[in-house]
Amino acid sequence: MIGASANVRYPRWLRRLFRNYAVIPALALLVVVFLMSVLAPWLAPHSPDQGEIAKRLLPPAWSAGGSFSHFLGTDALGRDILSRLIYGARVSMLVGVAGTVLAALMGVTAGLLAGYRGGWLDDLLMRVADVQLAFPFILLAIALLVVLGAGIWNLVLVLGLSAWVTFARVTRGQVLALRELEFVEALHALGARDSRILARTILPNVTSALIVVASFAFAEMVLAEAALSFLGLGVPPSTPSWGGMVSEGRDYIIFAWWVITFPGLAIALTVLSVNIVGDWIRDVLDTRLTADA
Amino acid sequence: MTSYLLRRLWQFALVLLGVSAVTFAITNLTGSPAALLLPPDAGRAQVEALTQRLGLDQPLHVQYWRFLTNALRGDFGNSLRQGRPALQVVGERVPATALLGLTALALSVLVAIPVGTFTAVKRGTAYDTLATAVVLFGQSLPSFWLGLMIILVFGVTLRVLPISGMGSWLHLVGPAITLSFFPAARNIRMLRSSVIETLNMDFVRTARSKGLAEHVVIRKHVLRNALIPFVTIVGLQIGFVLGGAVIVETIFAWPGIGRLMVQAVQGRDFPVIQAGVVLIAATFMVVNLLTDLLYAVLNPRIRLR
Repeated sequence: MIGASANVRYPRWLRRLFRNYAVIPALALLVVVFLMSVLAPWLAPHSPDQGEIAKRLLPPAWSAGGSFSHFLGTDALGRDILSRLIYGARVSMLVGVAGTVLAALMGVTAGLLAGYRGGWLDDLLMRVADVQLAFPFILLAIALLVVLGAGIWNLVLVLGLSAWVTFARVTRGQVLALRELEFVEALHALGARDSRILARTILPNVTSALIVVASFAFAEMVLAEAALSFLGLGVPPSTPSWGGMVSEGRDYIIFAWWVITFPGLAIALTVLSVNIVGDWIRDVLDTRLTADA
Repeated sequence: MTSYLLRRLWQFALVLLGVSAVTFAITNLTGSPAALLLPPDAGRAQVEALTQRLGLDQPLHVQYWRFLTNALRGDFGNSLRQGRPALQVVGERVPATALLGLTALALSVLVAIPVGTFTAVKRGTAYDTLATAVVLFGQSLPSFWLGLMIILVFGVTLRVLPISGMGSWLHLVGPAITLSFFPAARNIRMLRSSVIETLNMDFVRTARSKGLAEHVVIRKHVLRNALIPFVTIVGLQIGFVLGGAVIVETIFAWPGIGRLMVQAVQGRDFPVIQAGVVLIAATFMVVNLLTDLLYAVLNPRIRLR
């Protein structure tokens, strides 16, 4: 490796990082998106929701009629697209992180209980999972959001509810395998309580598989948030979000390609980066999970 | 085998019961549709009369029991918007969604077989890396945006495709490609790993060592075996396709179930939502069962118990 003497061993995650060169740009992009979401008020050149109607549908800086003060152009209400993209990162990050955490909390709890206890509880939880998997997710989300009303926290709730199944199934599978191992049996013999065995022994051993599941769940949540906002069921239109921007630009597709193109690219690149980083994490942790586990 | 089938059918009934209960619960949480159906200036008495006529004033469990027994006979009530039987309203849209969904699924398989096999055989080369990158990108594209981009490039700029509706086969191209993108990317990944696994099998080494040409080994020995687990994955894609159809049909104004469901939800047309969801869930489960059975037929090593 890069000028290293033969007896230096880089840690595994670092060696994998050098071998898979897509990971560095992907990580960099995620850091940029994260910084955009945190520092939006300082980074955005214009207000995200106040436009000048006289400057509506300005093209990006590099095409004829564009100006550098609105680098990516403006939308139908004369709002600066770059500023809205920067603010929109907040929604994607917030929904992605909060939704994944919620799904993980619910799924891991259900999976631990189902796998460790077994019996009727296992049957019940897995049948509930089957019922949920028989619904196309988007339909369930639409129906729930119509009941609950559109809004960012309702969206987090719905996305969390929709993704717990994967966490539950993976956790349960791992627990079933771990339960039979000698060290768990030994703890039983020593008189440890079930709750202690679950929290202190089983859970840490499931973590690496869960990190992989979480990274792919995060990617799916960003996509789902965009799709639901696009259908008008996600965040309210007053909050700039990438999916909402594509939706608003839809009517102007014929004469203003830039309005829908940039937010769509932002979604695609963010999700792509999360997927690349997820693949890398899986590689490093060497769990035998696929994206579909 | 018989006991396996019976158990699957029993689970099937349980899951459908769960689906119907959830659908019923969700649609009844939104408040009474009676007020929505009448003009805003309708009096209290009118709302009450309609509530009574629709049976919405009875206890929930009574309403659910009636819903369930009627649903078993295929009666989901009349569409609140169109006044016709809900199942009929949904049923009319089945051919459009079936055409779109099956075309997209076929497209994804037709792309996946050559690309998946090629990248597995050329594993580790630049071709493989390139294809894997393209696939990963394909899995990251939001379908609603991809659809709009196809409309923008092929419909608006190049003017080679119609931008919405259903008619000639050209109308099918845009929505089918959009809908097939995600399953195609997934299928390629799946087939690639399945082929790689098969390439390491002893019988492949035997086939090679008896001097068969490499293309014969790949086609007759590797691919045939690698396709067996692939069948299961393709079966599961039906779920994605049905879900994806909701978005794709909305963008391309394709008159299928997905678009109908979005409209029904927005218009709070409960009977149509209920009929649609139960139909979609049942379709999904039938396909899953058929996939499992097909898997057992294709691979005699699997015994269904």
